[in-house]
Order: sequence, then C-alpha cells, then structure tokens
Amino acid sequence: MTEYAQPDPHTDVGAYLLGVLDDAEMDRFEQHLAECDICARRLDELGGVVPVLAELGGAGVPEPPGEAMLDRLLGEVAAQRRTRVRRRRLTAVAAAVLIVAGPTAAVLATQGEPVVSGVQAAAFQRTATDPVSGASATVGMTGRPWGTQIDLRLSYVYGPRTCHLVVVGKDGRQETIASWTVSGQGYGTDEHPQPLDLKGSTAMPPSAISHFDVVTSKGEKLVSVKA
Amino acid sequence: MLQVDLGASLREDASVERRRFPGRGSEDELMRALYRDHAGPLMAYVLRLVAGDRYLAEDVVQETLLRAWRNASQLDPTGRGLRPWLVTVARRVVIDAHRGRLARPAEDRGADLEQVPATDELDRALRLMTISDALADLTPAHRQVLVETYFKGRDTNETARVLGVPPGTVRSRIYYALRSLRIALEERGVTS
Repeated sequence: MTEYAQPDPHTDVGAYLLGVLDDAEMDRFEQHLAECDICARRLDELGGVVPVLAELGGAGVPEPPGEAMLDRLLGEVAAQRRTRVRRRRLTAVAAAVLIVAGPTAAVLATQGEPVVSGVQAAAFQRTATDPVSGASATVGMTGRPWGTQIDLRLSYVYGPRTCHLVVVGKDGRQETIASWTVSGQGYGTDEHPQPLDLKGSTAMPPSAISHFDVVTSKGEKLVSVKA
Repeated sequence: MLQVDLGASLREDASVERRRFPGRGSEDELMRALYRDHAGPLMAYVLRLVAGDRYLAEDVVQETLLRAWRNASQLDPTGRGLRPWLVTVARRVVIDAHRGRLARPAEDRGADLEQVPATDELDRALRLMTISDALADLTPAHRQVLVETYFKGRDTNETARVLGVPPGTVRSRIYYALRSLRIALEERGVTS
C-alpha cells in the first residue's frame, strides 16, 4: 500500500479530524499543526468528509450484511424455482387429463358409431362403487360368438398392490380374466387422475355371468359389479 | 483493489453457473447483483429506520431484496428508479414488521400511494445510500480502519492492537482512507 512506501509525517491529521487520537497524541499534533502549512491545508481539504461520515454513523456501524444473507437469498431463489417447476408439472398433469377426457367426449358425441371402443362401446355397462374401499368400477360386456368381451374402467384405487378381475358365473364358477399392478399413485386418484382401462374375455356368454369382483392378490375384495 | 477483485470473482462465478444452467444462472446472477449493489447501502438506511437493530435490519433488507428480485420483470435492476423503489419497499416492510406482520406471506406489492415516503425523507435515504456506496468504494483495509476507529469509537492505539499493525500505520491509513473517501464522495456529487 502506498502509505508504507514513504513515511509521511503529516498524516496524523486524519485521526485528529476523526477525534481518535489519545490526549498526548492530540496535544503533540496540535503543536505541530500550528506551524505546519501542509497539515493546515490537509485539515481544510478533509474537514468536509467527517460530517458526511457522521450522517452514516447515526444508526450504528455501517457494515454491510454478511455473506450469509446472500446464501439465504439464493436459497429463496432456488425454492421459488422449485415451486415453479412443480406448477409446470401440475399443468402437464392437467393437460394429460384433458387428453384423456377428449376421446370420452368424442365417444359421447358419436354414440352408436362402430369405431368406438372400451367401456363406452360395450353393449351393456354396469357401474359400482364400494363403500369401504372407495374403489369404483365400470364393466362393459359385449356378447361375441366365442363368449363375452369385457372392458373394465377402474377409479379411486390406490397402490401399491396387485389386483385381479374375477368373473363369477351364475353356476358359481370363477375365472380370473385379467391381472395388473397399481403403483403408489393409484388410478383415478388426485395424484394420478387417469383411470385404469383394461380388457379381458371369457368363454361364458353374458347371460351366464353373475357378477365381477376386483380383488387384490391378498384376497381383499375392492369392488363387486353385478352383471 | 481487493474489492474490485471480489466483484469480478462474483461475476465470474455467476457466468460459470449460467453456462451450466441457463435459467438458474441468470436468476442467481440477478440476485447476486442486487445483493452486491444494494444490500450494504440499504442496510445503512434501514438501520436508521429501526434505530440500529441489526437483526431486524437484516430481515428487512433480505425481504426487500427478495421482493425486488420477484418484481424484476417490472423493474429495471440497473436503472436509477430502483433505489427509490427499494427505499419505499424497505420502509413498508419496516412498518409491517412493527405491526407484527413480517411473518405473514409476503405480498408482492410495490408501493401503495400512502406508503410512499415524503420527498425529503426519500432524498435523505438516497443520500445515505450514496454515502454508503462511497464507503464501499474504499479498499477493505481503508474501510476497516474507519469502521474500527470512527464508527466503533476506538482510539488509534486500541485499533492498532485489534488489527495487529503499528499505531503509526493506523494513523496514516486513516488519512489515506479519508482522502479516498473525499474523492469517492465528490465523484457521486455528495457535498457536506
């Protein structure tokens, strides 16, 4: 630093102006000042700076906030960025629901047309909601020369678990016609609004079917739908 | 000199990050710039508003900078209008804090008309922030010696012990610090 390069005997004027010399130093400087033109000039030059510093010192030491504040601010920036990403994902889910809803609306508008498929296209539809499990199932049955085509739409089912669709004949005969897994998000839930659509078939004609059971691999019945 | 280097390294960090994560880097960089350019001056003003309560002042400064960042699309972070906006918002945050509402979710309101400070108060605040800018212009060693002596009320001998330098060095450093400060104030049009 420049102040070390050449010892300057006239620099005490700064500390004198700030009033931070001790009594002995102050006396010594004032005696020097009385005879020193350089220090008198410096006193004039710097005299105006001290009242400005006093303005700043009115409320304590004017030290800037620590770097910890910058860390906290950047933490807030990151948190808000995460919130935005989450919102974008929710928007994407909402869009997915719209896409799912689209074909349904199209089916309703074109009912009776041969091109539709799934539950809505079935000859007979039955819906049931289980009051205990909360699961809701719609089963569509379409008679075929070889038996019955089954369409299942399942909502309000939560995982993780493995499920089976069991068809029960009027003669008591049981047949598992489909099986699937349900993830933690489930189907037709808040987290995963899209319902589960499945297909199955049985050799029984529609007239021979009593009901359908959706059961878990542990034998728990989620919902039962009468044919 | 050290201070200039520090600023350059912050900018360098920000640009490295921007190359890696386009969105994240520029957002972080904006926050860094707000902090670098305004946190200290804002602190000087807010300390006065809260009668020297440093903890409260830090909360207010942090909240104010955060609101500036959130409103960056409506503000020009480099423009001359930013400081009056910061002063107005900081003042509002202090008022809300006194009403016990700092913990409430922040509203991204800028300034209600009745919340805008009077012109002379705003002028005083901006002047205070400009003086703070001038002080920040000094080298860390020069700034430190003024803080340790004038603002903390230590004499040159005590300061010499605190800083671990000879008393003569403290005295000459004060002189050069005041000379630099006078120039920095003149450059900013601040007169006593």
